[in-house]
Amino acid sequence: MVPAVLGGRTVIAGLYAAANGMLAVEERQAVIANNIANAGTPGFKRQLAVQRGYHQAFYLDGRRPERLDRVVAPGGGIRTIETFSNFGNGVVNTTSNALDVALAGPGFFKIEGDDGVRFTRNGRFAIADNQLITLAGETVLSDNDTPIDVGGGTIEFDAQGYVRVNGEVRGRLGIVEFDDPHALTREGYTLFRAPQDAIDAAQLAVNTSVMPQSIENSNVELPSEMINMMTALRAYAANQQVIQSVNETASRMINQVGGL
Amino acid sequence: MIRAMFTAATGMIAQQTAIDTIAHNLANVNTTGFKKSRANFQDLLYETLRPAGGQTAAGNTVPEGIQIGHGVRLASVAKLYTPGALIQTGNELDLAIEGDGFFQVILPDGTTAYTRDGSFRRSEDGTILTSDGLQLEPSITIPTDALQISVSQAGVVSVREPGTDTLSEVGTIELVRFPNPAGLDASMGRNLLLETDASGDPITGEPGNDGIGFIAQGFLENSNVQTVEEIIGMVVAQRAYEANSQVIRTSDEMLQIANNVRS
Repeated sequence: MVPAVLGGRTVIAGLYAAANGMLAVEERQAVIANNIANAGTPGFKRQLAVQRGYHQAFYLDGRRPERLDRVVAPGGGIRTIETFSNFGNGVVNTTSNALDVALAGPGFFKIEGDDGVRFTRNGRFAIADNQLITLAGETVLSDNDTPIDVGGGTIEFDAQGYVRVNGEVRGRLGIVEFDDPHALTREGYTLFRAPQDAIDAAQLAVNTSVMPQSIENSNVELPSEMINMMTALRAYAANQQVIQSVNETASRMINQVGGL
Repeated sequence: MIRAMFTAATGMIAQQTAIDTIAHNLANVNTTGFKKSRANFQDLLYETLRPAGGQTAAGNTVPEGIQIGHGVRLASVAKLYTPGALIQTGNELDLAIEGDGFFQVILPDGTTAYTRDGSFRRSEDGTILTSDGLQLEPSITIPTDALQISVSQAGVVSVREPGTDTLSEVGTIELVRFPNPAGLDASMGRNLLLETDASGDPITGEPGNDGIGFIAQGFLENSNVQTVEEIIGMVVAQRAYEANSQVIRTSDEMLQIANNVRS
């Protein structure tokens, strides 16, 4: 009697495990799709969906608490636990446009929009009302958190981030480095938001240099993404096969075992 | 799955815009004074399935949340005002600007437009016009019997008339520069640009001052389009387009698999 019940539970657990597997692969595929769509977005950082198994989630049996200790017990499939941003530098291309600035190293440009201070690696800038702004219109901040006045002449950046107009220093780009950039969350428009404690702890860049007239490309690698996508597709199909065979097994159990 | 399909669709649309821009640049590879455009992309908003910094059931802080993006958007298509190559023509009314400035011309409705195209002509009464017949501002008239026209680096136009050996000044070409030339409106085509709120007000100056540029007589500024650069951009955009279409195909296959769960 007991083995039959257990068997049935295992069968159903397998069904949910496979269904969870399919849902998890869908999330993975959504992350891959976003990476590929942004293969040409300057300053974009690729993401990885990190997935982990549900351990013993279906073994919470009050009558047999020792089962909870079984590390190797089959679980309930997998789920996404985080989307991990890869902050590795993208390839830097020179563009010979005076308002293109790339960062080499771990720093971020500090900018200010309507919703407060944000951070970006996208150094395609423009000028409005004589101030340096991003293409979305946020103000680019200096190392003193002030806007940078760049009106009235030919603009130039140097490797330390100083902004010169007709040779005269107008300020220095506010480039900050975080202890842990993974504390940043994504806002879209190549912007990152940082929690207040991370902003307070951040320091002005020491390991980041500025590359004038250059742009940092997306760090998405198309071949890796294609392979991730192929793996995702096959994992999806395999999970579906599991559901089908669980279905068949359950069908036999219900229709044939009862018929004996 | 459906999310992935729409995400990839934004990717395809973006790459299509990139190709459109490249096609326009390549079509103008020999257009005098043409400035290439570039499509700028940004990622779209993210859906936060699990915020970073929150608490897990076990009481730990989530170090990095789950954020799934929705693809890419076009941020702007902006012109790049890098200098083009100067080509010697020997024509005395071909003028190139060696610097950031623009010529001013008067449109038929009286507004001022700006151009880098310095291939000027004379009207029947001697007024300096663009090849489209628009008058250079401030207006300069060349005497109809002038034998020789000389334009100095500082924009002073002088002519030699019959019976004399000396040049007499007939006017000075004025140039303007903009705080943000990328904000100029190029929508009317014809190598003409209009000022906008984004470009800022034009700053008038004599050639040679504050980076506004010297005038080079007998030269034309060619397009700043670099064929090799554009072709590379085209290859990259095409492959990125293909990759996005593969995402749609894969997502479609996955949907098919999902539909066959109960077969």
